[in-house]
Amino acid sequence: MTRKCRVLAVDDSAFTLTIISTYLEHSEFEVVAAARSGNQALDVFEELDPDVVLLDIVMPGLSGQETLKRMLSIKPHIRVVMVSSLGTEEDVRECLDIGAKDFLPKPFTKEDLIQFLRRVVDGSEEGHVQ
Amino acid sequence: MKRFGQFLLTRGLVSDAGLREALAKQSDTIVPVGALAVENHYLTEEQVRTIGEAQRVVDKRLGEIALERQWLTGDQLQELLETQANRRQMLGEVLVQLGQLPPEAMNRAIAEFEAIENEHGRQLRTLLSTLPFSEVIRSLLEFTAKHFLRTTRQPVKMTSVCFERCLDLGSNSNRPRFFSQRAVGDRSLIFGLLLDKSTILHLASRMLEEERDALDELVLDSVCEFVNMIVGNCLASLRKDGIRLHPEPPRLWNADDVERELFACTRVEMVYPDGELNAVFSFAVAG
Repeated sequence: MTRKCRVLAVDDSAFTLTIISTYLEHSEFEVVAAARSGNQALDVFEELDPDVVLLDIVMPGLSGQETLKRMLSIKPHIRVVMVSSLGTEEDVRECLDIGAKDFLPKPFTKEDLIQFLRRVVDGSEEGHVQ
Repeated sequence: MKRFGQFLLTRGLVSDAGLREALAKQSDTIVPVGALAVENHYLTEEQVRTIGEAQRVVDKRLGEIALERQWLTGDQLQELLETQANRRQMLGEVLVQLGQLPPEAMNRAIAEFEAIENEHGRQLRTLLSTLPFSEVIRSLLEFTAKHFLRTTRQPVKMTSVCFERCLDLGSNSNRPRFFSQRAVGDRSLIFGLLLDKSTILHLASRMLEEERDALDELVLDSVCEFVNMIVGNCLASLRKDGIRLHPEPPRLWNADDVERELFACTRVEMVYPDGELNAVFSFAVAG
């Protein structure tokens, strides 16, 4: 049996984490952890070994970009998708230059999120989607 | 049109009971958004039927489902809602039909009301264009209206612009809450929304897709995120025009925060067309 694609969601907004978990229920994706900060996410990142990370950019403490750099230094091939309402070309380019796979602008619908994740996973060589 | 009804009441041209009867009759004349969407060729009849079937199992409006399925854009929905508001029978017409007011008196009242509204709108636009950071304020207002429409399916309208020394949050449990976010760049700017309890619960219920009846952490956080999306989308748009500001995370401010941080803010009051919204947009240049 193919296992679900494991997602780590990182956002200081409890709303965003709730809505991501709700949207991914009954899909081929599973939220294995929801972290409220970059540091909290890094604490569980290695142990959980997620397939995809959904990472907010604007967070108190460690920014999304800095969290992305640290995750990539631990696991260079991790698929990280930046999620933010601040979707300028410049932000997208900066995150992609660091090594993010893609950029999902807020607000998003359930369909947006699932289709986006499918595209990110299908576009990689290590997809775990059923 | 509630504002027109209020105008007629204050002028003593209709009675309270007469106005209520006319408003009830007027609501029977609303054309469904689905019918308007088909008429404008934005949706097919088949799509409207499919949405109708979906509505049997989920408590969502047609526009909301159409947006989710990307069958309508936000701009198309806004246009349809405006058409719907314009298409329904005018309150004045209903009052005349009910014999509440003779046609000549109604025509005079409409002309007077429109003149006041037009002058009011002109003054608001002039005032906004003369403010420091007017470009930022206009953009924030535009995104605020867009996000209210997207989330609550109702267009909002500005009713007043003024300057205030400080916002009064009050102290009882039903006091309005102030959701605020700072953006930092050449200058530090503060955007905020002052919302009453029922508006907060309504917004959060729509965002979380389930009814909420208490101001718990998740509800308050949802409205913070509502502000975050307005500010983020606005700043992204402003960067295309060369205005570079970086947002800090949004948060709920208490009275001390407001007293300390929010000096001389621009205050814009906003309402839904039916008047059932209590939202105040605030903008300030931080010290």
